[in-house]
Amino acid sequence: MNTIDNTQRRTWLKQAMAACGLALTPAAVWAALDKSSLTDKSFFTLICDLVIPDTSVPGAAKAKVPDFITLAAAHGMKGAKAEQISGFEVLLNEHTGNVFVSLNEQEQKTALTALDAAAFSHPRGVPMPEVLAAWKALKALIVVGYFTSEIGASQALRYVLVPGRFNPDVPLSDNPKAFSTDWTGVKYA
Amino acid sequence: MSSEMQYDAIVVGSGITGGWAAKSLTEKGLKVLLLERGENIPHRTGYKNEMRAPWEMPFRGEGDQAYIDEHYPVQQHSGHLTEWNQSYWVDDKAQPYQTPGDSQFRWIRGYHLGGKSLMWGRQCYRWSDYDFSANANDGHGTDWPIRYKDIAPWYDHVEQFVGISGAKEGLPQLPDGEFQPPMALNVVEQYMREQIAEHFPDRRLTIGRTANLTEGKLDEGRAPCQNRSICSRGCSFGAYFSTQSSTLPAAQKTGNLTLLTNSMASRLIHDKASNRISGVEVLNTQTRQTTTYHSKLVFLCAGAFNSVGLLLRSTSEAFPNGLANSSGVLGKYIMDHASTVGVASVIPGFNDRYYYGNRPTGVVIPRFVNLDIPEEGYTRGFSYQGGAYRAGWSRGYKQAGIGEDFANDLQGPGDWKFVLTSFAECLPREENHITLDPEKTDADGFPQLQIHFSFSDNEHKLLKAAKEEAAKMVTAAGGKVLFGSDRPNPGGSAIHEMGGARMGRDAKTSVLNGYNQAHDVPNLFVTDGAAMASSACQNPSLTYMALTARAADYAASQLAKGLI
Repeated sequence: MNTIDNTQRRTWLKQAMAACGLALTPAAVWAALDKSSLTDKSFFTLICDLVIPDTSVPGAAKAKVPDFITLAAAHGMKGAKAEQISGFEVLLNEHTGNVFVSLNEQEQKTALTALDAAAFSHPRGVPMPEVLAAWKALKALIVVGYFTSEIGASQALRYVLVPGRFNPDVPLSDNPKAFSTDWTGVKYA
Repeated sequence: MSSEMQYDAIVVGSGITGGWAAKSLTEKGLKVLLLERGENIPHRTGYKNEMRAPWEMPFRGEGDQAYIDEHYPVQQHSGHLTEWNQSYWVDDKAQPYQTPGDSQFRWIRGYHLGGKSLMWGRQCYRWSDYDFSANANDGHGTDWPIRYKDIAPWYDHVEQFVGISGAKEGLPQLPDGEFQPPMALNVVEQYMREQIAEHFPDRRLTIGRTANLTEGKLDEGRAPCQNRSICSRGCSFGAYFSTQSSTLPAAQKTGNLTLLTNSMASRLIHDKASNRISGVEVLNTQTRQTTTYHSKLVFLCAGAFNSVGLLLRSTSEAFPNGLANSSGVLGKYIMDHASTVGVASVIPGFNDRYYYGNRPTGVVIPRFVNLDIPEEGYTRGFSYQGGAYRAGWSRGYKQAGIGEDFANDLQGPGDWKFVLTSFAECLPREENHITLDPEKTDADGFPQLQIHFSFSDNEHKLLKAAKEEAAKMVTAAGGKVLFGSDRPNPGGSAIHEMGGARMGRDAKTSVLNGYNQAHDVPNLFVTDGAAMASSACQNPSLTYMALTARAADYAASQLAKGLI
């Protein structure tokens, strides 16, 4: 479930466009929108929710990953570039031919899944379209932001800073969650 | 400039060897001045980020990449720099060096109390006579002036104090030591050990021999390892060997130690009449004042290349080409292990098994080539270090998927990976050398080092063989090879830089004698990695420590006899 109400936003957009006498086309919507609002937290909150939604534990939005994305991108974490991340919404809209935020949840999932599949099946050695590169960078920031947050590291995973012992063979069925403190497993995954 | 009191010995550098020199010399009753160019990082209270969770760090433990790119363009490639330990690595911007022409060298450093002993990999392996006789046997380099029997008692000595956990295997190429109980192989490593033994009877996979205590040394303030595997943040338990946890408290306990931090040895003063080092000029890096300290002995333990640099810039009328350099080989024959990922693989069949705790060591497969049966096409050998583990959440970077399935998958452990890094012996070659840059200086105003380095055809051949053999072992065990490389990482990447003031039998072709004593200047000893005449293919720190303790014992006895 998305944290922000996409339906509400989509409806608002439609009404706004109608009021302006415009058809709801991506180009028209894009032209009519305040660009600065597109790189704000709500878009990233939406994307975070789609990538790592609430499961048995709170997901990326509740773990405040959108805040982290802004900081991380500004400092080039995981090779991300600030403008690449802030411009992703535009690239996404251009790529899908839709206004992403105006789609319903299922449509958003379908669109993002297709983009994700294209990015991760992109052949090596072939220059990657900007939208796919930006998506991979953003997804990496969501993943690192979530699993290093307190929720991600200690609820989605097990955080045991001082194990005190090493048991070399444990049945996984005892607890299927991985350790966020398995630094080797994280470093060399 | 002022002139200060007389000590029995001055030790330059407080890392692994400097700590050992200070401990050994003070315990023999000598008054010792220990010089450290960097700041003091006190044991326990200095480890500011040790207990912090990722979410308590500004950049989640990964660090501010923009800052890292600006200040740590070299150090970040060590593979060990994190936000937790970032301040322990040198600022490359302030401490630059040159790699002329096609040279590639990653010079990884830590300028603070304890030096790299604070962030080291802790792997401790004895060398054997396969190593000490290698130069004599194949003609590369010059013969070591010692053999295994000369150093074996000193390996015993340092191992007992350091506290090294490991398994005895009875291998002549990797002699057993005075070990604490070994850490355990995990279920897949145990399987790989058995598979390798079955398919390759001359090969052995064993647990890493690591300077992490499995039995506490409580009387020394050291608790057993807590299996956190965050050693490089500093360990308040004192469970791994570092200057802070081990040698420094031992030296301080004698009452014979004076420690000066922020104090960089800028030059050694040679007295021509007595042919002795008469003083050490020391720059206080904070006040910018230079003081000359005097001593009967000087031990250089500044790290291989910095010890060489200090000698190169300590020119005098008697030694216009660098102190103790009548041979002309000072700065030459530098080495670093040629390293790369030999194999990364997936081992199927164990996905219902996991482990608890973070063992702070991997496994090792000692050298098995060119021991008693010569190989075709190359000389010397290679070994592997690595281990098995389950892939963590960061596999999500390269994994397709979004939504609940993706999130749930990453909450569990991934495939069992088995990875081996190849370490190939690096031949000592004259063309690999250090010089002083004639123009460029560092932040302290001293000439930068020029590091001229490349790997030879032999190292490339060794890594090629290592890649092939690693894949064979994985395949024989039913594993799936994902990747393997035979291309060495740039020199320095193994962080085993050594040589430049090699030990040898002949004063015409070496800088140091069999006791790490300068052939040219009797009261000068160099006991860090600079002394190495060959590189073997196993980690060198244990050998540096043993050589240091041995040299300190010799120096103290010579001093007592009035021979120095």
